[in-house]
Amino acid sequence: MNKAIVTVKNVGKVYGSHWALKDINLEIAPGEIVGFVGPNGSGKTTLIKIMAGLITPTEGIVNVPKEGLIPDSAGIGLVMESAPFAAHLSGYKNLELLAYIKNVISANEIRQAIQIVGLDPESGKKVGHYSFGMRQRLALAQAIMERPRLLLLDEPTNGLDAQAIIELRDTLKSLAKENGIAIFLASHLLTEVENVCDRVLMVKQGKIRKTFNKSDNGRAPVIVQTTDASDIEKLLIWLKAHGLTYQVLKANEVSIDIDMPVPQLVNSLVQANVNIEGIIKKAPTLEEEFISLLIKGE
Amino acid sequence: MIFRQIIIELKRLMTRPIYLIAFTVLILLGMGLIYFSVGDGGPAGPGEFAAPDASGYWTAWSALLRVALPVFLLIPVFIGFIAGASLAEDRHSGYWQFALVRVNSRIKWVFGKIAGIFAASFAGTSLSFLLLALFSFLLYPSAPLDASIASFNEEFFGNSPYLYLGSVAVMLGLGAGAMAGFSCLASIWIKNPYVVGALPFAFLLFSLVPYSLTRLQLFDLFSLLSLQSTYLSFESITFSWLVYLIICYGGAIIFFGRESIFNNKKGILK
Repeated sequence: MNKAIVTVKNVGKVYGSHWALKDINLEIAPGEIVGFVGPNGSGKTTLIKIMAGLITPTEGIVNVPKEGLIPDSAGIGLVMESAPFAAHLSGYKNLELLAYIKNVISANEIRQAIQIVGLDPESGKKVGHYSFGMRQRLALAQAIMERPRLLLLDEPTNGLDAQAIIELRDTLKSLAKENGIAIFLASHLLTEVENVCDRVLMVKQGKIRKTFNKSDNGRAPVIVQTTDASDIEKLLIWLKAHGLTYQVLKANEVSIDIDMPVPQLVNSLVQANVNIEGIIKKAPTLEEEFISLLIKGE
Repeated sequence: MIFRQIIIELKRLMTRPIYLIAFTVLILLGMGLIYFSVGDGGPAGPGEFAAPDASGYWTAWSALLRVALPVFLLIPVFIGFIAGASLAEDRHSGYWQFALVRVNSRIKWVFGKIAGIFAASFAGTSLSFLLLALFSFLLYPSAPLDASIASFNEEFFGNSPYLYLGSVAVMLGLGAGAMAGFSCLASIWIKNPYVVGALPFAFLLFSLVPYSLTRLQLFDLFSLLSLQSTYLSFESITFSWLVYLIICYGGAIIFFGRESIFNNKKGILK
Protein backbone atom coordinates (compact mmCIF):
# COMPACT_ATOMS: atom_id res chain seq x y z
CA MET A 1 0.00 0.00 0.00
CA ASN A 2 1.19 3.51 -0.80
CA LYS A 3 1.83 5.82 2.11
CA ALA A 4 -1.53 6.74 3.61
CA ILE A 5 -2.70 10.29 2.95
CA VAL A 6 -5.54 9.99 5.44
CA THR A 7 -4.99 8.79 8.97
CA VAL A 8 -7.74 8.53 11.54
CA LYS A 9 -6.52 7.36 14.95
CA ASN A 10 -8.76 6.39 17.86
CA VAL A 11 -11.35 8.96 16.87
CA GLY A 12 -14.47 9.33 18.96
CA LYS A 13 -17.30 11.84 19.07
CA VAL A 14 -19.73 12.24 21.91
CA TYR A 15 -23.01 14.17 21.85
CA GLY A 16 -24.20 14.63 25.39
CA SER A 17 -23.73 11.18 26.86
CA HIS A 18 -24.08 9.34 23.54
CA TRP A 19 -20.95 8.25 21.67
CA ALA A 20 -21.78 8.72 17.98
CA LEU A 21 -18.35 7.31 17.10
CA LYS A 22 -15.87 5.37 19.19
CA ASP A 23 -12.33 4.09 18.54
CA ILE A 24 -12.34 4.67 14.81
CA ASN A 25 -9.04 3.80 13.15
CA LEU A 26 -8.58 4.19 9.44
CA GLU A 27 -5.94 4.77 6.80
CA ILE A 28 -6.54 5.55 3.16
CA ALA A 29 -3.87 5.43 0.48
CA PRO A 30 -3.82 7.61 -2.65
CA GLY A 31 -6.05 6.14 -5.34
CA GLU A 32 -7.90 3.91 -2.88
CA ILE A 33 -11.68 3.89 -2.66
CA VAL A 34 -12.96 3.04 0.79
CA GLY A 35 -16.62 2.47 1.53
CA PHE A 36 -18.41 3.05 4.79
CA VAL A 37 -21.71 1.28 5.37
CA GLY A 38 -23.98 1.01 8.35
CA PRO A 39 -27.55 1.50 9.46
CA ASN A 40 -29.04 4.96 9.96
CA GLY A 41 -27.54 6.77 12.94
CA SER A 42 -24.44 4.59 12.98
CA GLY A 43 -22.10 7.59 12.67
CA LYS A 44 -21.33 7.65 8.94
CA THR A 45 -22.06 11.34 8.39
CA THR A 46 -20.37 12.25 11.67
CA LEU A 47 -17.12 10.62 10.54
CA ILE A 48 -17.29 12.38 7.16
CA LYS A 49 -17.86 15.71 8.90
CA ILE A 50 -14.92 15.08 11.21
CA MET A 51 -12.66 14.22 8.28
CA ALA A 52 -13.88 17.34 6.42
CA GLY A 53 -13.07 19.51 9.44
CA LEU A 54 -16.71 20.55 9.90
CA ILE A 55 -16.76 19.17 13.42
CA THR A 56 -13.98 18.36 15.83
CA PRO A 57 -13.68 14.91 17.36
CA THR A 58 -14.04 14.51 21.11
CA GLU A 59 -10.96 12.30 21.09
CA GLY A 60 -8.41 11.02 18.64
CA ILE A 61 -6.37 12.44 15.78
CA VAL A 62 -7.32 13.05 12.17
CA ASN A 63 -4.75 13.80 9.49
CA VAL A 64 -6.10 14.75 6.08
CA PRO A 65 -4.47 16.49 3.10
CA LYS A 66 -4.29 20.25 3.59
CA GLU A 67 -3.73 20.98 -0.07
CA GLY A 68 -5.04 19.51 -3.32
CA LEU A 69 -3.12 18.54 -6.44
CA ILE A 70 -3.16 22.22 -7.47
CA PRO A 71 -1.03 24.41 -5.12
CA ASP A 72 -3.10 26.33 -2.53
CA SER A 73 -6.28 24.49 -3.48
CA ALA A 74 -8.46 22.75 -0.91
CA GLY A 75 -7.20 19.28 0.02
CA ILE A 76 -10.70 17.89 0.44
CA GLY A 77 -13.68 17.71 -1.89
CA LEU A 78 -17.00 17.18 -0.17
CA VAL A 79 -20.37 15.91 -1.36
CA MET A 80 -23.09 15.72 1.26
CA GLU A 81 -26.57 14.25 1.00
CA SER A 82 -28.11 17.51 -0.13
CA ALA A 83 -26.75 19.62 -2.97
CA PRO A 84 -27.34 23.17 -1.74
CA PHE A 85 -26.66 25.55 -4.61
CA ALA A 86 -28.02 29.01 -5.35
CA ALA A 87 -31.20 28.27 -7.31
CA HIS A 88 -31.12 31.51 -9.33
CA LEU A 89 -27.66 30.88 -10.80
CA SER A 90 -26.54 28.42 -13.48
CA GLY A 91 -24.45 25.40 -12.56
CA TYR A 92 -21.32 27.04 -13.94
CA LYS A 93 -21.95 30.31 -12.06
CA ASN A 94 -22.45 28.42 -8.80
CA LEU A 95 -19.15 26.62 -9.21
CA GLU A 96 -17.41 29.79 -10.32
CA LEU A 97 -18.42 31.48 -7.04
CA LEU A 98 -17.20 28.56 -4.93
CA ALA A 99 -13.95 28.36 -6.90
CA TYR A 100 -13.42 32.08 -6.28
CA ILE A 101 -12.91 31.38 -2.54
CA LYS A 102 -9.52 29.83 -3.32
CA ASN A 103 -9.14 31.41 -6.75
CA VAL A 104 -6.63 28.83 -7.97
CA ILE A 105 -8.42 27.28 -10.95
CA SER A 106 -9.38 28.68 -14.33
CA ALA A 107 -12.80 28.86 -15.98
CA ASN A 108 -11.72 26.00 -18.25
CA GLU A 109 -10.99 23.77 -15.28
CA ILE A 110 -14.46 24.49 -13.90
CA ARG A 111 -16.00 23.59 -17.27
CA GLN A 112 -13.95 20.39 -17.39
CA ALA A 113 -15.25 19.33 -13.98
CA ILE A 114 -18.83 19.96 -15.11
CA GLN A 115 -18.21 17.91 -18.25
CA ILE A 116 -16.71 15.03 -16.27
CA VAL A 117 -19.96 14.60 -14.35
CA GLY A 118 -21.99 14.64 -17.55
CA LEU A 119 -23.47 18.14 -17.40
CA ASP A 120 -23.24 20.88 -20.00
CA PRO A 121 -20.99 23.71 -18.75
CA GLU A 122 -22.35 26.12 -21.36
CA SER A 123 -25.96 25.59 -20.34
CA GLY A 124 -27.48 28.69 -18.83
CA LYS A 125 -30.15 26.63 -17.09
CA LYS A 126 -30.67 27.79 -13.52
CA VAL A 127 -29.97 25.26 -10.78
CA GLY A 128 -33.52 25.84 -9.52
CA HIS A 129 -34.67 24.01 -12.66
CA TYR A 130 -32.22 21.11 -12.22
CA SER A 131 -33.48 17.65 -11.28
CA PHE A 132 -32.19 16.20 -8.01
CA GLY A 133 -29.82 13.95 -9.95
CA MET A 134 -28.38 16.92 -11.84
CA ARG A 135 -27.79 18.73 -8.55
CA GLN A 136 -25.97 15.69 -7.20
CA ARG A 137 -23.75 15.65 -10.30
CA LEU A 138 -23.08 19.35 -9.86
CA ALA A 139 -22.17 18.69 -6.22
CA LEU A 140 -19.65 16.12 -7.42
CA ALA A 141 -18.29 18.61 -9.95
CA GLN A 142 -17.77 21.21 -7.19
CA ALA A 143 -15.98 18.57 -5.13
CA ILE A 144 -13.54 17.55 -7.88
CA MET A 145 -12.99 20.86 -9.68
CA GLU A 146 -10.00 21.89 -7.56
CA ARG A 147 -8.40 18.43 -7.78
CA PRO A 148 -8.49 17.53 -4.08
CA ARG A 149 -6.40 14.65 -2.78
CA LEU A 150 -9.32 13.32 -0.77
CA LEU A 151 -12.94 13.08 -1.83
CA LEU A 152 -15.55 12.62 0.88
CA LEU A 153 -18.90 11.45 -0.42
CA ASP A 154 -21.97 11.08 1.78
CA GLU A 155 -24.74 9.22 -0.06
CA PRO A 156 -23.67 10.56 -3.47
CA THR A 157 -26.08 8.27 -5.35
CA ASN A 158 -29.17 9.67 -3.62
CA GLY A 159 -31.72 10.56 -6.27
CA LEU A 160 -29.64 9.28 -9.19
CA ASP A 161 -31.16 6.96 -11.80
CA ALA A 162 -29.50 3.67 -12.78
CA GLN A 163 -27.64 5.21 -15.73
CA ALA A 164 -26.34 8.05 -13.59
CA ILE A 165 -25.20 5.62 -10.88
CA ILE A 166 -23.19 3.63 -13.44
CA GLU A 167 -21.64 6.84 -14.77
CA LEU A 168 -20.82 8.01 -11.23
CA ARG A 169 -19.17 4.66 -10.51
CA ASP A 170 -16.99 4.96 -13.63
CA THR A 171 -16.16 8.58 -12.80
CA LEU A 172 -15.07 7.70 -9.26
CA LYS A 173 -12.96 4.78 -10.43
CA SER A 174 -11.21 6.88 -13.04
CA LEU A 175 -10.63 9.74 -10.57
CA ALA A 176 -9.00 7.31 -8.17
CA LYS A 177 -7.00 5.44 -10.79
CA GLU A 178 -5.88 8.29 -13.03
CA ASN A 179 -5.48 11.11 -10.53
CA GLY A 180 -4.64 9.14 -7.42
CA ILE A 181 -7.50 10.74 -5.50
CA ALA A 182 -8.41 8.87 -2.31
CA ILE A 183 -12.15 8.44 -2.00
CA PHE A 184 -14.17 7.80 1.13
CA LEU A 185 -17.74 6.90 0.36
CA ALA A 186 -20.70 6.40 2.68
CA SER A 187 -23.79 4.91 1.08
CA HIS A 188 -26.79 2.70 1.65
CA LEU A 189 -26.49 1.06 -1.77
CA LEU A 190 -24.46 -2.00 -0.83
CA THR A 191 -24.11 -3.31 -4.39
CA GLU A 192 -22.75 0.02 -5.57
CA VAL A 193 -20.37 0.30 -2.66
CA GLU A 194 -19.16 -3.24 -3.34
CA ASN A 195 -18.69 -2.47 -7.04
CA VAL A 196 -16.79 0.74 -6.62
CA CYS A 197 -14.80 0.30 -3.40
CA ASP A 198 -11.54 -1.53 -2.77
CA ARG A 199 -12.39 -1.89 0.89
CA VAL A 200 -15.59 -1.45 2.87
CA LEU A 201 -15.85 -0.66 6.57
CA MET A 202 -19.00 -1.84 8.26
CA VAL A 203 -20.05 0.30 11.15
CA LYS A 204 -22.63 -0.30 13.81
CA GLN A 205 -23.41 1.90 16.80
CA GLY A 206 -20.42 4.12 16.10
CA LYS A 207 -17.81 1.37 15.92
CA ILE A 208 -16.18 -0.33 12.94
CA ARG A 209 -17.25 -3.97 13.34
CA LYS A 210 -15.92 -5.55 10.20
CA THR A 211 -13.84 -4.80 7.12
CA PHE A 212 -14.88 -6.23 3.80
CA ASN A 213 -11.82 -6.49 1.61
CA LYS A 214 -12.12 -7.28 -2.08
CA SER A 215 -8.57 -8.61 -2.22
CA ASP A 216 -9.56 -11.25 0.35
CA ASN A 217 -11.87 -12.91 -2.15
CA GLY A 218 -9.11 -15.48 -2.97
CA ARG A 219 -9.68 -16.90 0.51
CA ALA A 220 -13.37 -17.44 -0.05
CA PRO A 221 -14.85 -20.56 1.58
CA VAL A 222 -15.49 -23.58 -0.60
CA ILE A 223 -18.89 -25.25 -0.43
CA VAL A 224 -18.81 -28.99 -1.11
CA GLN A 225 -21.95 -31.02 -1.83
CA THR A 226 -21.61 -34.78 -1.47
CA THR A 227 -23.71 -37.37 -3.27
CA ASP A 228 -25.35 -38.53 -0.06
CA ALA A 229 -25.15 -38.07 3.68
CA SER A 230 -22.78 -41.02 4.19
CA ASP A 231 -20.10 -39.24 2.17
CA ILE A 232 -20.28 -36.36 4.58
CA GLU A 233 -18.79 -38.62 7.24
CA LYS A 234 -15.80 -39.38 5.00
CA LEU A 235 -15.45 -35.69 4.21
CA LEU A 236 -15.52 -34.65 7.87
CA ILE A 237 -12.88 -37.25 8.74
CA TRP A 238 -10.67 -35.88 5.96
CA LEU A 239 -11.22 -32.29 7.14
CA LYS A 240 -10.39 -33.15 10.74
CA ALA A 241 -7.29 -35.03 9.62
CA HIS A 242 -6.10 -31.89 7.82
CA GLY A 243 -7.03 -29.56 10.67
CA LEU A 244 -9.37 -27.46 8.55
CA THR A 245 -12.26 -25.41 9.91
CA TYR A 246 -15.67 -26.10 8.44
CA GLN A 247 -19.38 -25.61 8.89
CA VAL A 248 -22.03 -28.18 8.05
CA LEU A 249 -24.72 -26.34 6.10
CA LYS A 250 -27.04 -29.21 5.16
CA ALA A 251 -27.05 -33.00 5.46
CA ASN A 252 -24.88 -33.24 2.35
CA GLU A 253 -23.31 -29.76 2.24
CA VAL A 254 -20.26 -28.40 4.05
CA SER A 255 -18.60 -25.00 3.88
CA ILE A 256 -14.82 -25.28 4.23
CA ASP A 257 -12.40 -22.48 5.05
CA ILE A 258 -9.51 -23.50 2.84
CA ASP A 259 -6.75 -21.77 0.89
CA MET A 260 -6.22 -24.68 -1.56
CA PRO A 261 -7.03 -24.32 -5.29
CA VAL A 262 -10.33 -26.03 -6.17
CA PRO A 263 -8.86 -28.65 -8.63
CA GLN A 264 -6.34 -29.75 -5.98
CA LEU A 265 -9.11 -30.03 -3.39
CA VAL A 266 -11.23 -32.12 -5.77
CA ASN A 267 -8.28 -34.48 -6.36
CA SER A 268 -7.67 -34.86 -2.64
CA LEU A 269 -11.33 -35.61 -1.93
CA VAL A 270 -11.54 -38.15 -4.75
CA GLN A 271 -8.47 -39.90 -3.31
CA ALA A 272 -10.26 -39.93 0.08
CA ASN A 273 -13.23 -41.70 -1.62
CA VAL A 274 -15.62 -38.80 -1.10
CA ASN A 275 -18.27 -38.76 -3.82
CA ILE A 276 -18.69 -35.12 -4.82
CA GLU A 277 -22.00 -33.91 -6.28
CA GLY A 278 -20.91 -30.31 -6.64
CA ILE A 279 -18.30 -27.83 -5.50
CA ILE A 280 -18.35 -24.04 -5.49
CA LYS A 281 -15.96 -21.36 -4.29
CA LYS A 282 -17.88 -18.20 -3.52
CA ALA A 283 -16.95 -15.22 -1.44
CA PRO A 284 -19.82 -13.76 0.56
CA THR A 285 -21.15 -10.56 -0.97
CA LEU A 286 -21.05 -7.32 0.95
CA GLU A 287 -24.79 -7.66 1.42
CA GLU A 288 -24.38 -11.11 2.99
CA GLU A 289 -21.61 -9.81 5.25
CA PHE A 290 -23.71 -6.78 6.15
CA ILE A 291 -26.75 -8.91 6.97
CA SER A 292 -24.65 -11.27 9.07
CA LEU A 293 -23.26 -8.29 10.97
CA LEU A 294 -26.49 -6.43 11.50
CA ILE A 295 -29.03 -9.19 11.90
CA LYS A 296 -27.00 -12.07 13.22
CA GLY A 297 -24.56 -9.79 15.01
CA GLU A 298 -21.55 -11.80 13.78
CA MET B 1 -9.76 35.51 1.15
CA ILE B 2 -12.25 37.55 3.20
CA PHE B 3 -12.38 40.14 0.43
CA ARG B 4 -13.20 37.39 -2.06
CA GLN B 5 -15.89 36.05 0.27
CA ILE B 6 -17.45 39.52 0.37
CA ILE B 7 -17.48 39.65 -3.44
CA ILE B 8 -19.05 36.18 -3.55
CA GLU B 9 -21.75 37.18 -1.08
CA LEU B 10 -22.48 40.38 -3.00
CA LYS B 11 -22.86 38.38 -6.21
CA ARG B 12 -25.00 35.69 -4.58
CA LEU B 13 -27.31 38.13 -2.80
CA MET B 14 -27.59 40.98 -5.26
CA THR B 15 -28.35 38.73 -8.23
CA ARG B 16 -31.21 37.01 -6.42
CA PRO B 17 -34.55 37.65 -8.11
CA ILE B 18 -36.17 38.61 -4.80
CA TYR B 19 -33.41 41.15 -4.14
CA LEU B 20 -33.67 42.61 -7.63
CA ILE B 21 -37.48 42.73 -7.46
CA ALA B 22 -37.50 44.41 -4.03
CA PHE B 23 -34.82 46.85 -5.15
CA THR B 24 -36.63 47.71 -8.40
CA VAL B 25 -40.08 48.01 -6.82
CA LEU B 26 -38.84 50.31 -4.07
CA ILE B 27 -36.89 52.47 -6.51
CA LEU B 28 -39.97 52.73 -8.73
CA LEU B 29 -42.09 53.59 -5.71
CA GLY B 30 -39.65 56.32 -4.74
CA MET B 31 -39.54 57.64 -8.30
CA GLY B 32 -43.33 57.59 -8.45
CA LEU B 33 -43.60 59.55 -5.22
CA ILE B 34 -41.02 62.08 -6.38
CA TYR B 35 -42.62 62.49 -9.79
CA PHE B 36 -46.33 62.43 -9.01
CA SER B 37 -46.51 64.02 -5.58
CA VAL B 38 -44.67 67.19 -6.31
CA GLY B 39 -47.10 68.74 -8.73
CA ASP B 40 -45.92 71.16 -11.39
CA GLY B 41 -42.79 72.33 -9.65
CA GLY B 42 -44.30 75.64 -8.65
CA PRO B 43 -45.66 76.67 -5.28
CA ALA B 44 -47.54 73.91 -3.51
CA GLY B 45 -51.23 73.74 -4.36
CA PRO B 46 -53.98 72.81 -1.91
CA GLY B 47 -54.22 69.14 -3.04
CA GLU B 48 -50.54 68.42 -3.10
CA PHE B 49 -48.90 65.77 -1.01
CA ALA B 50 -46.54 67.87 1.04
CA ALA B 51 -45.30 71.37 1.46
CA PRO B 52 -42.40 72.64 -0.60
CA ASP B 53 -39.29 73.91 1.07
CA ALA B 54 -38.94 77.29 2.77
CA SER B 55 -38.28 79.09 -0.48
CA GLY B 56 -41.84 78.27 -1.49
CA TYR B 57 -40.84 76.09 -4.48
CA TRP B 58 -40.21 72.44 -4.99
CA THR B 59 -36.56 71.66 -5.42
CA ALA B 60 -34.65 68.42 -5.95
CA TRP B 61 -33.85 68.47 -2.24
CA SER B 62 -37.43 68.85 -1.05
CA ALA B 63 -38.70 66.18 -3.47
CA LEU B 64 -36.02 63.75 -2.38
CA LEU B 65 -35.94 64.34 1.35
CA ARG B 66 -39.56 65.17 2.01
CA VAL B 67 -41.70 63.14 -0.38
CA ALA B 68 -39.54 60.04 -0.87
CA LEU B 69 -38.73 59.73 2.83
CA PRO B 70 -41.05 56.74 3.52
CA VAL B 71 -39.22 54.77 0.86
CA PHE B 72 -35.96 55.30 2.70
CA LEU B 73 -37.49 53.58 5.69
CA LEU B 74 -38.73 50.64 3.64
CA ILE B 75 -35.55 50.04 1.62
CA PRO B 76 -33.28 49.15 4.57
CA VAL B 77 -35.98 46.88 5.98
CA PHE B 78 -36.48 44.93 2.76
CA ILE B 79 -32.80 44.80 1.87
CA GLY B 80 -32.06 43.79 5.47
CA PHE B 81 -34.77 41.13 5.15
CA ILE B 82 -33.11 39.50 2.16
CA ALA B 83 -29.49 39.86 3.21
CA GLY B 84 -30.10 38.97 6.84
CA ALA B 85 -31.82 35.72 5.97
CA SER B 86 -28.77 34.54 4.04
CA LEU B 87 -26.95 33.11 7.03
CA ALA B 88 -30.01 31.15 8.13
CA GLU B 89 -30.51 29.94 4.55
CA ASP B 90 -26.94 28.68 4.29
CA ARG B 91 -27.29 26.95 7.61
CA HIS B 92 -30.63 25.45 6.58
CA SER B 93 -29.43 24.25 3.15
CA GLY B 94 -25.95 23.11 4.14
CA TYR B 95 -24.20 25.44 1.64
CA TRP B 96 -21.84 26.49 4.44
CA GLN B 97 -20.21 23.06 4.28
CA PHE B 98 -19.06 23.62 0.68
CA ALA B 99 -17.59 26.96 1.65
CA LEU B 100 -16.04 25.84 4.93
CA VAL B 101 -13.98 23.00 3.43
CA ARG B 102 -12.39 25.64 1.22
CA VAL B 103 -11.89 28.33 3.85
CA ASN B 104 -10.68 25.84 6.48
CA SER B 105 -11.50 28.16 9.37
CA ARG B 106 -14.95 28.58 10.84
CA ILE B 107 -14.23 32.05 12.20
CA LYS B 108 -12.80 33.23 8.88
CA TRP B 109 -15.78 31.86 7.02
CA VAL B 110 -18.33 33.40 9.39
CA PHE B 111 -16.48 36.72 9.31
CA GLY B 112 -16.39 36.73 5.50
CA LYS B 113 -20.04 35.73 5.28
CA ILE B 114 -21.19 38.40 7.69
CA ALA B 115 -19.01 41.05 6.06
CA GLY B 116 -20.63 40.07 2.75
CA ILE B 117 -24.13 40.35 4.22
CA PHE B 118 -23.31 43.79 5.59
CA ALA B 119 -21.77 44.87 2.28
CA ALA B 120 -24.82 43.67 0.31
CA SER B 121 -27.29 45.45 2.59
CA PHE B 122 -25.17 48.61 2.78
CA ALA B 123 -24.53 48.76 -0.98
CA GLY B 124 -28.14 48.08 -1.98
CA THR B 125 -29.58 50.68 0.36
CA SER B 126 -27.04 53.42 -0.29
CA LEU B 127 -27.25 52.84 -4.01
CA SER B 128 -31.04 53.09 -3.99
CA PHE B 129 -30.88 56.41 -2.14
CA LEU B 130 -28.29 57.80 -4.55
CA LEU B 131 -30.34 56.62 -7.54
CA LEU B 132 -33.42 58.41 -6.23
CA ALA B 133 -31.30 61.47 -5.54
CA LEU B 134 -30.06 61.40 -9.12
CA PHE B 135 -33.64 61.07 -10.36
CA SER B 136 -34.76 63.98 -8.24
CA PHE B 137 -31.88 66.18 -9.33
CA LEU B 138 -32.57 65.39 -13.00
CA LEU B 139 -36.23 66.31 -12.55
CA TYR B 140 -36.14 69.40 -10.37
CA PRO B 141 -33.89 72.44 -9.88
CA SER B 142 -31.02 71.84 -7.50
CA ALA B 143 -31.43 74.89 -5.32
CA PRO B 144 -29.27 75.22 -2.18
CA LEU B 145 -30.09 72.78 0.60
CA ASP B 146 -32.63 74.51 2.79
CA ALA B 147 -32.34 74.05 6.53
CA SER B 148 -36.05 73.25 6.71
CA ILE B 149 -35.57 70.30 4.36
CA ALA B 150 -32.51 68.71 5.92
CA SER B 151 -33.55 66.03 8.34
CA PHE B 152 -30.29 66.47 10.20
CA ASN B 153 -29.86 69.88 11.69
CA GLU B 154 -26.10 69.94 11.95
CA GLU B 155 -25.07 73.31 10.60
CA PHE B 156 -22.11 72.23 8.53
CA PHE B 157 -24.40 70.31 6.17
CA GLY B 158 -25.84 73.64 5.00
CA ASN B 159 -22.49 74.55 3.47
CA SER B 160 -21.78 71.05 2.12
CA PRO B 161 -25.01 69.72 0.59
CA TYR B 162 -23.29 66.87 -1.26
CA LEU B 163 -21.55 65.81 1.92
CA TYR B 164 -25.05 65.74 3.39
CA LEU B 165 -26.25 63.56 0.51
CA GLY B 166 -23.34 61.15 0.98
CA SER B 167 -23.81 61.09 4.75
CA VAL B 168 -27.48 60.20 4.45
CA ALA B 169 -26.60 57.43 1.97
CA VAL B 170 -24.01 56.05 4.41
CA MET B 171 -26.37 56.34 7.37
CA LEU B 172 -29.15 54.51 5.53
CA GLY B 173 -26.64 51.83 4.49
CA LEU B 174 -25.56 51.42 8.11
CA GLY B 175 -29.21 51.12 9.12
CA ALA B 176 -29.81 48.37 6.57
CA GLY B 177 -26.62 46.68 7.73
CA ALA B 178 -27.81 46.85 11.34
CA MET B 179 -31.15 45.30 10.40
CA ALA B 180 -29.43 42.51 8.48
CA GLY B 181 -27.13 42.07 11.49
CA PHE B 182 -30.15 41.70 13.75
CA SER B 183 -31.32 38.85 11.48
CA CYS B 184 -27.85 37.29 11.54
CA LEU B 185 -27.84 37.33 15.32
CA ALA B 186 -31.36 35.89 15.44
CA SER B 187 -30.23 33.07 13.11
CA ILE B 188 -28.44 31.59 16.11
CA TRP B 189 -31.78 30.72 17.68
CA ILE B 190 -34.14 30.66 14.73
CA LYS B 191 -33.33 28.54 11.72
CA ASN B 192 -36.27 29.40 9.48
CA PRO B 193 -34.91 31.95 6.97
CA TYR B 194 -38.31 33.62 6.47
CA VAL B 195 -38.84 34.21 10.17
CA VAL B 196 -35.29 35.46 10.54
CA GLY B 197 -35.63 37.68 7.49
CA ALA B 198 -38.82 39.23 8.82
CA LEU B 199 -37.10 40.37 11.98
CA PRO B 200 -35.87 43.69 10.56
CA PHE B 201 -39.52 44.81 10.67
CA ALA B 202 -39.55 44.03 14.36
CA PHE B 203 -36.17 45.65 14.72
CA LEU B 204 -37.47 48.83 13.11
CA LEU B 205 -40.44 48.93 15.44
CA PHE B 206 -38.45 48.18 18.55
CA SER B 207 -35.72 50.65 17.77
CA LEU B 208 -37.76 53.56 16.44
CA VAL B 209 -41.16 53.47 18.08
CA PRO B 210 -39.89 53.76 21.66
CA TYR B 211 -37.76 56.73 20.64
CA SER B 212 -40.72 58.29 18.92
CA LEU B 213 -43.05 57.74 21.82
CA THR B 214 -40.65 59.14 24.35
CA ARG B 215 -39.44 61.88 21.98
CA LEU B 216 -35.82 61.50 22.90
CA GLN B 217 -34.81 63.88 20.12
CA LEU B 218 -33.81 60.96 17.97
CA PHE B 219 -36.85 60.47 15.83
CA ASP B 220 -40.31 61.83 15.60
CA LEU B 221 -42.43 59.22 13.90
CA PHE B 222 -45.52 61.36 14.18
CA SER B 223 -43.84 64.11 12.22
CA LEU B 224 -42.64 61.63 9.67
CA LEU B 225 -46.11 60.24 9.02
CA SER B 226 -47.48 63.73 8.50
CA LEU B 227 -44.49 64.49 6.24
CA GLN B 228 -43.68 67.61 8.21
CA SER B 229 -40.17 68.73 8.99
CA THR B 230 -38.36 66.24 11.14
CA TYR B 231 -35.10 66.95 12.83
CA LEU B 232 -32.82 64.14 13.74
CA SER B 233 -29.42 64.09 15.28
CA PHE B 234 -27.07 62.63 12.69
CA GLU B 235 -24.52 61.68 15.33
CA SER B 236 -27.11 59.95 17.52
CA ILE B 237 -28.61 57.93 14.70
CA THR B 238 -25.22 56.93 13.31
CA PHE B 239 -23.99 56.08 16.78
CA SER B 240 -27.10 53.94 17.40
CA TRP B 241 -26.56 52.04 14.16
CA LEU B 242 -22.91 51.48 14.97
CA VAL B 243 -23.79 50.10 18.40
CA TYR B 244 -26.32 47.74 16.80
CA LEU B 245 -23.76 46.74 14.17
CA ILE B 246 -21.12 45.90 16.75
CA ILE B 247 -23.51 43.97 19.00
CA CYS B 248 -25.31 42.08 16.23
CA TYR B 249 -22.36 41.20 14.01
CA GLY B 250 -20.00 40.67 16.94
CA GLY B 251 -22.49 38.33 18.60
CA ALA B 252 -23.12 36.47 15.35
CA ILE B 253 -19.38 35.98 14.75
CA ILE B 254 -18.79 34.76 18.31
CA PHE B 255 -21.73 32.35 18.33
CA PHE B 256 -21.41 31.06 14.77
CA GLY B 257 -17.70 30.60 15.35
CA ARG B 258 -18.69 27.74 17.65
CA GLU B 259 -19.31 24.49 15.82
CA SER B 260 -22.21 23.49 18.03
CA ILE B 261 -24.38 26.21 16.47
CA PHE B 262 -24.03 24.89 12.93
CA ASN B 263 -24.36 21.28 13.91
CA ASN B 264 -27.54 21.91 15.84
CA LYS B 265 -29.80 21.09 12.91
CA LYS B 266 -33.06 22.25 14.38
CA GLY B 267 -32.02 25.52 15.92
CA ILE B 268 -33.59 26.45 19.21
CA LEU B 269 -36.78 27.50 17.47
CA LYS B 270 -37.93 26.12 14.15
